[in-house]
Amino acid sequence: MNVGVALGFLALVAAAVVGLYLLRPPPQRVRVGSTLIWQRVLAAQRGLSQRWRWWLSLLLALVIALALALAVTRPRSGEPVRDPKDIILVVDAGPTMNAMRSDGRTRFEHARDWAIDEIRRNGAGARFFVTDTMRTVSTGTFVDAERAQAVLKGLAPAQGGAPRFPDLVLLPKSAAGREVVFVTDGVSALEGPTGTRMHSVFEVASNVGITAFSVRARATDPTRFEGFVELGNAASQPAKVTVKIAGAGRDPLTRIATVGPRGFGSVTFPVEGFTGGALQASLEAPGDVLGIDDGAFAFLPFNRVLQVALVTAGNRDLERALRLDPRLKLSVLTPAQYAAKAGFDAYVFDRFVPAQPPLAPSLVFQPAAISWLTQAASLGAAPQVTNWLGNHPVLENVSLADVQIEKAAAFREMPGALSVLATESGGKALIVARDKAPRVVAVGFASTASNFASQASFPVFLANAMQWLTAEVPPQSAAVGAVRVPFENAKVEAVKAGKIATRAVPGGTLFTLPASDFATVEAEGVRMRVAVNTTDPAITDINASALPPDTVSVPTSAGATAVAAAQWWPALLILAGVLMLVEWLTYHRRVTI
Amino acid sequence: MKPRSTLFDEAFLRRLEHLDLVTRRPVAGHLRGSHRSRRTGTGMVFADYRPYSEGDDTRNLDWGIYLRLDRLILRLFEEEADLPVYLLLDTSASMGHGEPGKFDFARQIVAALGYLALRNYDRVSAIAWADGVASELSGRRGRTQVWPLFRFLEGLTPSAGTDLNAALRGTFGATRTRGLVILVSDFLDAAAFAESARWLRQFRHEVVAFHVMAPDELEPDLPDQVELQDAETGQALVLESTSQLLEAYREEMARHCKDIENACRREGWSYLLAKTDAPFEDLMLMALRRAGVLR
Repeated sequence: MNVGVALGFLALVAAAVVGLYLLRPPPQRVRVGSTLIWQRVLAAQRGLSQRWRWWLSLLLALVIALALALAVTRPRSGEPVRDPKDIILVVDAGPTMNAMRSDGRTRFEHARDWAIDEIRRNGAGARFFVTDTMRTVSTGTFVDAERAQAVLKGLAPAQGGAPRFPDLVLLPKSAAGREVVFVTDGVSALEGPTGTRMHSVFEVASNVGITAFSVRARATDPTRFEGFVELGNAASQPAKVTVKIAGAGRDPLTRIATVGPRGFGSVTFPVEGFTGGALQASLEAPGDVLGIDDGAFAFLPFNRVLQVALVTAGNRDLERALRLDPRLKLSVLTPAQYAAKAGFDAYVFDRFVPAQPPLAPSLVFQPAAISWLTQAASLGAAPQVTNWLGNHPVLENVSLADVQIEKAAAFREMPGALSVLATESGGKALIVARDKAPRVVAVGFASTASNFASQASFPVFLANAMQWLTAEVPPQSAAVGAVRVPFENAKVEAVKAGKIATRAVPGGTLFTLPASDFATVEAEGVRMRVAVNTTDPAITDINASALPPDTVSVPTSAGATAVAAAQWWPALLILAGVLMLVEWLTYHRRVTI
Repeated sequence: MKPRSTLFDEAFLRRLEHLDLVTRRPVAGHLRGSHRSRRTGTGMVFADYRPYSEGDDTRNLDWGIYLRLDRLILRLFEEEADLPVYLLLDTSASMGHGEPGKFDFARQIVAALGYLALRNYDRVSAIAWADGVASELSGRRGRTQVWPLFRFLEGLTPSAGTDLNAALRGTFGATRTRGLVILVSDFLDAAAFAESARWLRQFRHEVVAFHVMAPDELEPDLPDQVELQDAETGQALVLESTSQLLEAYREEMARHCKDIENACRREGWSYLLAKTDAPFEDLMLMALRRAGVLR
């Protein structure tokens, strides 16, 4: 509170005390038999001492009330009236500024109000440049007080992202002198240029937040998943936290965990009961002052049966091998039936290739020619597979060493679109894959023209191929704020925010989520999940500030942040308490005002 | 059929019947009573010797002395006389205050002592006084006068100020026979009690002073800011009742009581501080006995 307002407040308090003394309720009337003894007593005691007693009581009450008022208002008398000049006001709008203080208002609200007061204190002659550490608002250039206040009132703290002190070198030079004022809680540890005057809105508080949330396959059983939630505690006392995971397919799961002081803890959940899709983790902790890190999203893969069509004129070995995979529901079509059937998750073309590319991923055996994929050319008799990519998901745990081929077609490699998975001794591609939707795996020979179908690795190859072809694009995690996905013209829809406006950028799409959310991105037949979270230990640790609470630093040539304002308000409170005790002891009155 | 009185119940009256008043010095009296008189006569208590003169009752000659000294010496005996009892009840407005009430308590004291005196065939006078003599029930004797006494007491109401000096001057004079004075009051009189006592001393009465006080007068419990209104003068007194002031009041009240007690002791009178919250029976049966009023 500035000096003027504080003085006004103090005068009001003093006037109220004096008024209450003068307007005390009339004394209670008591009828007694005789006042003879009282008159004798008062004759000895009354007189000058009684009047002194009244004045001293009033003085004590005034000092007590003023001490309390000063402790509450905390006027800063050390701030001189400044000459008009250009002031650069930088307000920290980082995520930790959302932390609630003990008075129920956030650090950011304190910072914004202080900045507005600072504008008023500097008078109408000064010019202001207002900006923030999240690059959300800026006056653009030096403006008058009214415009600066309007910009400040439109400022809001971010719910994620890394704050950064704005670059001020491009601002126009000022003839009247320039002062940089930075209002922050100090958690971001940002420093302005030399001479920056800093105001702290920091206050120690309790906070527990989710610092990580992921869904991962169990080490013992890759087909089963578990949710992992990491918790961070910023307080210096242990925190008892209730963690909940909610999703589709079953009731939410709840766990209670205790997180040590200024430490981390973790909770795991078995998530098989959920059907898949977005999982939301949330926590509840007593005294928690920061809400933006109390929730997070993750993606649980769907575990469903794939509809696969085998398009062939007849291939019992291939059909039998595909039916061995329990994840597949196989339909066998002739090439003539292919056009009439649709709605499959994947196709297996056996010595047949449609003229138009299918909408779903496909595994192609011995294509005559795939105009929409690549060109194929006949090879000589009995080509030998000599090299293959064993680390590619399609050929994982698959050996082609013993495969004997009667005849095959070699693919022409198309750089950037196709990957060669296996080559013959001459270096020509025998198995290729296109890692672009819809995915394609092309094998240059038919199962009937080789002994591949009788190899033990053939069902493994088919299973790997189906898995790779039908797998969704791996889910992506992103921080709150601007998110870039590597798909052009993508459409984005989020669980909480609904449909999101997007912006095309080279090679991808950009969209912004201001808070934790779960977005689904669709483009070019590809669907990708993006979990946008505020899971950052640096945000959860809201007490990691080097600044003392509520102080103003004195700008020094070295840019140090020495504290100028003395913290005398606790002494005032103690003084008021001592005086109240003295007043009570000496006057034996419980109510002094 | 006896008239009913609200001052005492039957049980209490029966407990008082076996008590008797006693005086520690001979008193003058016209009527025979059970109290010793300064007159010598036909009583049983030996008083003195004197030489025989003609006309004296020869039954009282001391023949032993005559045989030893050969002189006629007459034995003198105290003649028993009735005891005039003066019951002086303070009816000033200050007696109407206190909790439990001082006035009822004082009337019970007066009524009980009057009852005992009448039962003992003493002549009893009841005088109500405040800033002077307010009313008087003239000398009565015999137990049949108990109920007129009670009715007189019941008809009294506290009013006016307190002037003990004026009341004593209006009550006692040359016409009053020396006797026992029962003075019942709160003694909240601006004039010094010692002055009144000195004036009363000349009549050589036996005096028993009952100082009636209510507990809230001895230990007042007042709000912080209080305006005290005097029941007698109507004067208002505004004060702030601090613990220091209350302590000073208690000291002053104790000094006031002590002054009255000392004045009584100087005159050879009995003094009793009668607190209205004390059991009345205890006061009558124990305090009066300890003070020598009852035997």
